[in-house]
Amino acid sequence: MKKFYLLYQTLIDGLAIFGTAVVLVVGGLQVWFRYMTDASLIWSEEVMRYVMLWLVMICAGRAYSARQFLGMRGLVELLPRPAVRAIDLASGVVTIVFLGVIAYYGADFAWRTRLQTASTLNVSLFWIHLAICVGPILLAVHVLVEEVLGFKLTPPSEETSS
Amino acid sequence: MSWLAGFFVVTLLAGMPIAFVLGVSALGYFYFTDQTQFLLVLPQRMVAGMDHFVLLAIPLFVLAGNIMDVGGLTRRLVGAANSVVGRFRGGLSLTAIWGAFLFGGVSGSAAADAAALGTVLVPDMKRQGYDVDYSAALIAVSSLMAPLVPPSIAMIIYGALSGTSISQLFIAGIVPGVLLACVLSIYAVWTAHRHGYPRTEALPLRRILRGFGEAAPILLLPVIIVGGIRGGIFTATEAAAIAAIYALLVSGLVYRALNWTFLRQAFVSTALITSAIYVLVAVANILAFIFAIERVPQMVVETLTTITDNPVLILLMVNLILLVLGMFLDTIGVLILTVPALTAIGQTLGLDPVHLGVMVIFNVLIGFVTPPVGLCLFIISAVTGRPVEKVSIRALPMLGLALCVLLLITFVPQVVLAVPNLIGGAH
Amino acid sequence: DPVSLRLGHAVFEAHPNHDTAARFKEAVERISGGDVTIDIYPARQLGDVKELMEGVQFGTVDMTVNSATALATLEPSINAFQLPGVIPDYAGFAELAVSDEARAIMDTLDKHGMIALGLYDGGQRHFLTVGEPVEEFAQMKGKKTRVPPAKLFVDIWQAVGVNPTPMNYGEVYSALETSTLDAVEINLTSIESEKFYEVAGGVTLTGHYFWPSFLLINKARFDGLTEEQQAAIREAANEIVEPQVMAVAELDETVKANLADREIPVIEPSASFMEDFNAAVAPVIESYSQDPLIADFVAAASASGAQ
Ligand code: NA
Ligand code: NA
Repeated sequence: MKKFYLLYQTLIDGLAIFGTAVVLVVGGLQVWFRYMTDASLIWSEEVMRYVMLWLVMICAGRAYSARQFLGMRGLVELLPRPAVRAIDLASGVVTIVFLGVIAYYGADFAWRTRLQTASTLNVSLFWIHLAICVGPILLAVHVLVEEVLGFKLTPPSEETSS
Repeated sequence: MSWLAGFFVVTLLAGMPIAFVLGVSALGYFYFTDQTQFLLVLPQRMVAGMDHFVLLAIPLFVLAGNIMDVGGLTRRLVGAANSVVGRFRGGLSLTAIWGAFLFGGVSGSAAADAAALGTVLVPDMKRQGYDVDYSAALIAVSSLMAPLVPPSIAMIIYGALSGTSISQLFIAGIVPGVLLACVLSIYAVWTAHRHGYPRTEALPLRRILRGFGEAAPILLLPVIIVGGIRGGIFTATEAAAIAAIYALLVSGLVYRALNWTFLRQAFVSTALITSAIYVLVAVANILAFIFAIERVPQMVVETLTTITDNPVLILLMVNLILLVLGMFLDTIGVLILTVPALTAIGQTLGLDPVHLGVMVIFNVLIGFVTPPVGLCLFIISAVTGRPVEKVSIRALPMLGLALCVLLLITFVPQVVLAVPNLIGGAH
Repeated sequence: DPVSLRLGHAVFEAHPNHDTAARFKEAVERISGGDVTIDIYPARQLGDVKELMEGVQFGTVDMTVNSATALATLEPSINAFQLPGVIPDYAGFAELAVSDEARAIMDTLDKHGMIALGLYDGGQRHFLTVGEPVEEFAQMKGKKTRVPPAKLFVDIWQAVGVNPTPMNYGEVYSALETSTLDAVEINLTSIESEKFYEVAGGVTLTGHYFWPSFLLINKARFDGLTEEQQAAIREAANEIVEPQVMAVAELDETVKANLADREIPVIEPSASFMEDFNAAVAPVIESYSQDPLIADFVAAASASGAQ
């Protein structure tokens, strides 16, 4: 199980590095081509936007476990330990319901927009909008494991990476 | 609306992450008001919220900051600032303020500023006999300068939401940033005299020049950013990509401080921070839809203008509403929820959009250091290991000073607009 | 039962598309005797162009006045309305907007769950330059020109020979001011509302195409209304076409007068300029006319004595 999680984490990190690098390089090329040549890039904006959309959705669950989603913890933490656990459990369940609704309607949304094509890339928007189904599912799995099942997925050393 | 408010308060108090607080509240609202036909709007609005070109500035500026951090930039900036202001009583606290100012010229976010400077400076200040809570509070409040001095993620988002020129906003933030730094400096010197905080030895000019020489490649960045935008080479959003590429080149080629482990850490951390911000932006965009169908912006404008037609009072109330929202929500959340109403108010009062923008941003920045949800307070308390409440209390007088600067820029638009008018020629 | 419909659009209230919405509201409420009422949500309150179009498709927004080109990714024949030089002038626009050929193209949206009630205008487009205004066709060559990021516009402007540069609309003003861009193709009312005159070196009245918009309604919503309500909506949508289009023409004259007051040169291109321009874009029109619906519309436009 632990091995599987490490594999998953390595994969997500790899995609994170790749996606960020693509946005960086394409952003640089966009400036270069417009300023230095007579042929501005037409597709660069759209590529950056869509890569970023997929990137943040793929990383959302991992970001949750890296404690990047902040809340107002002051009051809750004053309560005794078991009460905190119960509240977090309830919050977790409600959150998973929300994410489930987004994933379900996200799939519906992606399907209903399949006939639209991106304006400069020859891609159906289905493939772009699918991200809003995948991201919430990954997030829900992380919330399930951490708040409902009670496992902490990220070593404390990584918690203050911001 | 009462369903929305009810869910919001309960989930917020329960300590749920803000992004989920907003999402669950929206879902509860649609379900209990029998508007489930709108559930399909939820993913659509989320995608629309995230699919903005200007938002790409977030990962790119965060990346630039991360690379510079692992590249040893913060130390050099602090060294440069200290070589000038260290000689005065309470010198290290002045270094914190002006280090934050310089760092703000590189970083687009107050959070990055607080984390970087807190790590570097608080241990030094403690060693010199500074009160740790005071040091932490000072750095937290100083970090507010990062989004005022260009580049600024908050300004990019405001510009995107309201259609205000981002490059004009960038330039307009400089004077309020300097003002905040000056006011904090006076307070720091006064505190230092009261508590007998030490000064460091005065350095000879040669050493000062050397310190600035070492930091020069970094200090050049804001010049490159503003110069590149004004010179027509890149747009304000694209400046983020240039900043990140420049950071890579400087850290790698000039300081030779990059290796694979550092880079990997910088890139992954960038993706994770950005991911959390994007999810928040996405969910806040659902709330914006609810506010639109409930006609909240119109209600706010009507209510305000019924209470009074005195523009001064209206502006004061706007400030108050923003400050209260800023206590509970983070910058981007506040901006997405309020910008429609604010632009309407601005049009009613005939305010300059750039002036309004800087005023709004200053307001939401203050939210970074107000409990219960103050991002910079959280970060600085995590970095220093001090309780949030203790740091908050020491931050109160400085917050009061920041509020004075806010009032000044609210009622004297020329403080904000003089520089953009001088450089830009427009407006 | 009386029915109330939500109409969202993506522009500020000074824009011709808002005028379309306001005229439709007035007309339908009058014709139906208050049986059909319209709530207008301006300025992207219910979403931007793409979300509004999807919203009408899904039924989460009842109606919208939305840029026609945004729907061309669903139905390519819609590109007919923006082929350069095909619609000659505002009067011709008003006439062609209610033609059978235009109706045939609009009806393709039925299968996407939307009804296009009518075709209106957002303003004829011209060529604004930061430097000296363009007086000869050859001067357009290589100018970094902001064009909306869609295949049709890229095809047209590459054929003209400018350097088509997509850019976020919100950044265009700064980009013109700092000469990141050399030019923008834009309608006259936007020059006024976006204050582009502050950074303009001149405007050449190329009038290359119009900026048509549809008044759209969700099909299921429409089919669920009574026959009287449907008739009132149809009648109102038709009635406002000509006055709306001609009102834009009038607005353009006001803007031209304002530009003259500000001493910004406004150039009427010579006949040879437009001949060169049309020759350059002819292959684009030809290639898009492979779509029979587009070919029919182009034929109807030239038959109406247009070209
Ligand atoms: Na900054
Ligand atoms: Na706060």
